[in-house]
Order: sequence, then structure tokens, then C-alpha cells
Amino acid sequence: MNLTMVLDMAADAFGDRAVLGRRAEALTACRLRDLAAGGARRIRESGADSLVHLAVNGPAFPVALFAAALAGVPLVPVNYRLGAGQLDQVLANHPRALGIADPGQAAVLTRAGISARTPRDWLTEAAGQPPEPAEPAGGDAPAAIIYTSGTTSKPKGVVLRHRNLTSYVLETVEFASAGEDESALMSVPPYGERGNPLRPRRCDHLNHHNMINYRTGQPPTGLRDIP
Amino acid sequence: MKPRVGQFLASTVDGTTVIVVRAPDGDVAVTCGGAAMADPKSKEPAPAGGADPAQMGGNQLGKRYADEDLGLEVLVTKPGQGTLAVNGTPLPLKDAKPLPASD
Repeated sequence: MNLTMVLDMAADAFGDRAVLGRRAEALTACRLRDLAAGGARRIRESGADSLVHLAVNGPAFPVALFAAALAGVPLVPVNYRLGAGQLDQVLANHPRALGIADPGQAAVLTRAGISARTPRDWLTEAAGQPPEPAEPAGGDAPAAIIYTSGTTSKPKGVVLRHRNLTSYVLETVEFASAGEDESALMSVPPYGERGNPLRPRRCDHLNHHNMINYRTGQPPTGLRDIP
Repeated sequence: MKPRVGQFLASTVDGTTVIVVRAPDGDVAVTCGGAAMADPKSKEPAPAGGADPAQMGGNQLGKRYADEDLGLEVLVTKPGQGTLAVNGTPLPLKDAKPLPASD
């Protein structure tokens, strides 16, 4: 099963429901699917073989994950807290990637020969593309490449296949079980397995350093926090 | 029919849609409200058949229904009034496993 099946399930069952972001500006399930399809077109047109994400968590991240899935390339979320030498080692494995980076990290991608766009620009690019229907790859295709922390040796890439992620989601959470008035505040870095954004709930992804200052305008009914 | 993992199946007698989460190797008859379910993406015409009033017990959004002996499991993505059944036997509701600890 491809990861985008989860998005199709949400968009088909409750397409107009807010699933991501603060209530006032939230993406609905259908909007998320359109942005993912637009982003996938952008990836295919670029000829990239992967999508590198070097930024804090935010709405651009799940759009990137599903866009990569639709385009048939893996997402490579990179730890923005790695040192320059380790970042260069990791990025050298992905010379043909399309890149998303926070403004302060753009130079790291450029140095590796990878085009860099900010998360905001990535969302704008995705919104500017006509959604293109595509037949997603099968469950054995790589969905993401996650790098080890590099504390004891150089970071190693681990492939997560679509079937790994879909089985995790299907086995552990009940589809459509969150009420309309429920929300989960997510505070997790996007580069580890715990940053898995596939929670079938309203999620607020944010830079965890800003959590104390965060004002949602709505009390979250659940919290997921990895310091 | 031979269901495939990841395949959507739609009821022909109500609005029910399910996704196949686990599938057995052999042919099975997956029905909703007593009528065969069909793949909405399939080019073949949907099988004809009326609803069986005795098999209109309903199904619930987001719930999983499974036959452990056969190895068939489906997840309801759109609910309806029909009873989900395999080879004529109603599929029992399956409970979600608790989320594993994150560390």
C-alpha cells in the first residue's frame, strides 16, 4: 500500500475537515491532497530522484511527504542540528534531490549542489501547479530515508518503505476516531521516526523551541512532544 | 473475487466503501448487505444484486472488520447500512490495538 492511500481515505471520507494547522488557516484534507499533487508535479518536472527537507517542522513537511510519495521518490528529512561536516556527508548521497530548507540552512543545500527553496516557497510552488492524477507506486517503494543521529559514527540512511509506514498507521490508530473539536499539538522534530506526521487528527506542527510561546486560539486536546 | 491489499471496495446497495487491509490468497465473496462489493476503479460492470433485508445491520466509519481464519481484514472508509460479510458469514468487528509506547 502507498502512503497516499491514507490521504485518499481522509480526503474521500471528510475532505472539508481541517486536518493540519491552526483552525483559522488550517489545511483541509482535500487541500492537503491538492498541494501534494501539485508538489508531486513540481518534483517530476525537475527530474529529481528525492526530496530533501532541512527545516523545522511545519505544514510544508506533510505536503512534502505526500508529494514525494505521489512522485515516486523518497523524502529525505535531514537533521538541522547536525554539524556542517555531517550535513555535507549526508547530502552528498542525494546530489539529484530537490531541496526544501529554512533560510538559514539554504547555503548548506547550495553547497551540495541542491536547489533550495524555503518551506513557504515550497507551499507556494505546490499551490501553483495543477494537481495531476498519478498512479502511486506499490508498498515496496521507498517512502523516506531517515538518517541515524551520527553520534557514534557517520550518519547512515535507513529506508522506510510505504508498507512500513502504512502498516504502522493502520495497526495503531483508528481511522476517523478524533472528534471535530479535538486537536493534537505536535512538537516533534521532522527528521526522526517519531516525527511521523501520519496522525489522523488535527495536528499543529511547530518548531518545538517555540512551543511555550505558541497561541493556537484553541486548547489542544492531545499533546505529542519529543524534546 | 480475489481482493488485493490496498484495494478499495464499494457496496452496490448502499454508500459503504472499505479498503482491504489484509487479504487471503484464494477467492472470497465479499458482500455488503448481501450483495457483492466491487472495485470502483474496475472497468468491469458492477455485479447486479439487491440488498438482503436480513443483512442490513450497518457498519461503522473507521472500524475494522476481520475474519481471522480466512485472513481477510477491511477498514470502513465510508459507512453504510449494509452488513459486511465474507462467503455469506458476517464479518465481526475488530478492536484496534493500543498504540505502542513511543520509547
